[in-house]
Amino acid sequence: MDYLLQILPSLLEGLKMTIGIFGLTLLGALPLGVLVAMGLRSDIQLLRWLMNLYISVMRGTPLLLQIVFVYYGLSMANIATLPRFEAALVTFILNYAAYFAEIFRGGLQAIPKGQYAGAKVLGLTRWQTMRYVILPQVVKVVMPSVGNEVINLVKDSSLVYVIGIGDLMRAGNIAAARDVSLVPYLLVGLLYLMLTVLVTAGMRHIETRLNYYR
Amino acid sequence: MLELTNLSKTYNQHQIFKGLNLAVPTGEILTIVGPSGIGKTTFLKIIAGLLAADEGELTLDGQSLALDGQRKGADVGVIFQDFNLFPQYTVLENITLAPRLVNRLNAIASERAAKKLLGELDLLDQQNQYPFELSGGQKQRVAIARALAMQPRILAYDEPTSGLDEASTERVIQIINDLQEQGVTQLIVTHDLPFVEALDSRILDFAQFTREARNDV
Repeated sequence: MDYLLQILPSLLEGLKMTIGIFGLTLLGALPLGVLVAMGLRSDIQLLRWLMNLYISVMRGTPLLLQIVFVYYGLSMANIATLPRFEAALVTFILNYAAYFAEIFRGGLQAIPKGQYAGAKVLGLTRWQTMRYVILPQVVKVVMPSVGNEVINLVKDSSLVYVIGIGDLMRAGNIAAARDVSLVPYLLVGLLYLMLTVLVTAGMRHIETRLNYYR
Repeated sequence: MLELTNLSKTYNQHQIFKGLNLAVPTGEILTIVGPSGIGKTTFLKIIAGLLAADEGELTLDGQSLALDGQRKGADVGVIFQDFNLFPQYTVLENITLAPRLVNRLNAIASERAAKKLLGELDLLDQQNQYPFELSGGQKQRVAIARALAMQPRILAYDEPTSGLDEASTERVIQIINDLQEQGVTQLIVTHDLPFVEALDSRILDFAQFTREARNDV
């Protein structure tokens, strides 16, 4: 017990970093995902092509590799030198926006054409149709898939250890190596589990609130 | 007066109709009948501004309405076959949405107008329900109320009695007749002949109409 209390502060410090990466990634990736999904449905062919290429690259290569590439690669190629945290954040946002965009694209496709027609004959503009008629329905459709990705993000955030960011996983690694013990890992696992349970409950709550209509 | 001149439409390289001319006096009910697949709904969608015509002109009381599928405004109200109500909004919200967003009415004014319509259509008890809680006939009336809230000059119905029971059909007939008395011009695409007979309407046999137009060209 004493040992647990001894390592807990450093783990909680790491947990803060994990939650930071998690929250900021969502904040950036969700709106970017909406924009990319709209780009995928654009009338401009070049834009559609670029968005598809971006999604293919982001979904087709390991996130770990992308983090290494953005942090070390960009700097070695003299393109940009990003601090660790910013490099990780940029990578996570770009990666998750691609997954969200695909989910939103599916959500947009799921809305019947009649909803657009219904809005058009009432005189709503394209923007009003999106904002007041289509997107509220898309949110309901995509919520379960978005929830899955959000839970993945909690766990994926541990990949930042590869560029030496002091997140929960790294704090556990350090304590385990120092004390030659598996107990820190057990505690790390519990903390991740707590986090995903909380996130799952939050997502369920949102889904339930959206269940007022069919 | 609604006037349509030289309307043509091709779809998938198949000429659906060509050189159609039609005049509908204000307050008239025009029922458009004929077998499925001859372009009645396409015709209605073009008038509603939802589909582009290849050629043709449409004027309403002398004012030209775009036929390029990009028309703005709500001059032609449409009652769709599957209603296309917005599922996330209550009956009242479905009706007030467009008056608030498009006509910039405030909440009080738009709700007052909506409740008047709901009263006339026997829907006041349903005002806080969502579309999924309504029967087919109730959805139909909400769709009519939603279109009327924008005070359209033309009301277009696509198969308004499909899927309705006898009592609901009776109710629709009564509403259409009431609207005629108020001077609303109504275009109704249907293949429900007993329904057509119950209306005091001009009947347009769409198959014959398109055939004659083709022969004239």
